[in-house]
Amino acid sequence: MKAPRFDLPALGVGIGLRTTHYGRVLAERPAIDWFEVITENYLSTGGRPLRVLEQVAERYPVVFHGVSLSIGSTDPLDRNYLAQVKDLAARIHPHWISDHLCWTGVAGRNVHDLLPLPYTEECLRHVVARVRQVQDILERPIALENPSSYVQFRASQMSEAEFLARMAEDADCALLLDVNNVYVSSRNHDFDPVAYVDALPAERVVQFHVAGHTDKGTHLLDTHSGTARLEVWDLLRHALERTGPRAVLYEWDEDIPDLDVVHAEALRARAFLQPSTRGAAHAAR
Amino acid sequence: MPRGELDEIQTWFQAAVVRPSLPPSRRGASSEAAEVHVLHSRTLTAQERVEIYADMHVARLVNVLAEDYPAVRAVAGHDDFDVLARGYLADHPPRSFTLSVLGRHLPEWIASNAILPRRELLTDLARLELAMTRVFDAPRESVLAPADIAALPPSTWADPRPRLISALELLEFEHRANAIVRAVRQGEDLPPLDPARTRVLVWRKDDVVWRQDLDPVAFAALHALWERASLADAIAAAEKEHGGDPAELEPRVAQWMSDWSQDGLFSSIE
Repeated sequence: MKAPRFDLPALGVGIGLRTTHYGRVLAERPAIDWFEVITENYLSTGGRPLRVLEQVAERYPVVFHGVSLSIGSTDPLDRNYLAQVKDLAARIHPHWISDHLCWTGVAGRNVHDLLPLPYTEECLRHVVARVRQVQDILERPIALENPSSYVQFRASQMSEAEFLARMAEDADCALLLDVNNVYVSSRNHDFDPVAYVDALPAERVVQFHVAGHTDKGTHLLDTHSGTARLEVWDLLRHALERTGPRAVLYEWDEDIPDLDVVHAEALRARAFLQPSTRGAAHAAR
Repeated sequence: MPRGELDEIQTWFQAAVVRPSLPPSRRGASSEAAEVHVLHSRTLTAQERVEIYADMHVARLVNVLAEDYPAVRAVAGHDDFDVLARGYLADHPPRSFTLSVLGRHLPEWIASNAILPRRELLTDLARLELAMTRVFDAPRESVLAPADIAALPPSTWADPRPRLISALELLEFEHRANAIVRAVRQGEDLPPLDPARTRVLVWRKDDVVWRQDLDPVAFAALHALWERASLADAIAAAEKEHGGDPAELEPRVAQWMSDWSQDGLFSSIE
């Protein structure tokens, strides 16, 4: 096992900070290892969300997770957005900043979805150059998350895993590995999820996402709803065996239940953060 | 792959994803283009795979508008709001990284669409709900303590210009906009929807957005302060609206200043 590329802490098991849980988090200070926040929810606002984030950041480790970097777009980088992210980071001091390997719009438009990229040599060079620019602007390494996707482009010249691995090496950035996304895409595109995980540079993975998804019959949809399937937990276990302990986060964004329910589901990851946990996914059920 | 091909794919894919935001008459089939760019899966054609994104896209944005404009949605009705939202999105596609500004042009868009049923009422509701969103997100600033206002004796009111906080808006309506919004949010029966002139103060205190109907005289005074008038000029505006004996207003003015300072409406005194 290679040593981690980045000197970032294995924060334990966290959950996403969501509006519906603000009251309990502030009032009861539940024993949660850390929180991930959607960066954009705290930009361009001087109201309650920002005050809540400041209070949460005083009590818990916090990580930023963005959805609007649009690292793969052929539009210019949004420097106003990056400036706001940088300002917020200077105030909140997140342990790291992540976003997605995707694009969110072109021609000045923002589709507000994480759209898929063609995995080509030229696209790789394009993304690598932009990751370097972003890291220069933010003055820190960023982590990019593997997307869930529903299309594959004919133009692609390499697998998504190869693209991610080469991007991380060439741009010297970190990876956020969403094992649910790997599973969803593996079913939608008919590839081996374990081989995908094995193709990534484990030493660059700084965080994992786990989540539930929805089986639509013809495809899996990454809905961040409900509990994760056993196969997804198994994939997390396998990935953690390669990386060693890393921050693990459970995402729940649709029909969000009580904080205790989300946290209980997240805590199932604890079983895999210890060494020698082969088979623990079954034991955790 | 030349850079132009990445441009081409993204331009085509975006157009395919956002197309359902358009009214049905403006949609077009593009399965041939999908076949050019996208592989089939074992269960879906190229076009069906693209439509997964298209379906999610329009549903997500309509849902954002519905969350920002619950009273507009309630009065318009679920189906009509869906049509309204799709029409609005076709004319005002999102360009910002934040969805909090997605609906910022909705009031003017409704006002300019003469074919919409209850257009004037919906415009009023949209204006109030947009004001609530803007006030929610307005920049932070310090608030003047009530004692600072109380320390101003009436004899000095000719000069001071109390400045109102930026997280504050004053609006006039031709309908009972505030009562309708309140009823929708509390799940109560709607008040009469017929025209009725109303005036509403929207402000933020302790991170909570508040709304209050104002009588015309109080509105005149506060509106003058909002336009950076001196306290004396604000009182003159109230007297003009009142039209009666100015002495009758004195106790009301004192009460307004006390209430408004307690409510945290003032940021400073110039």
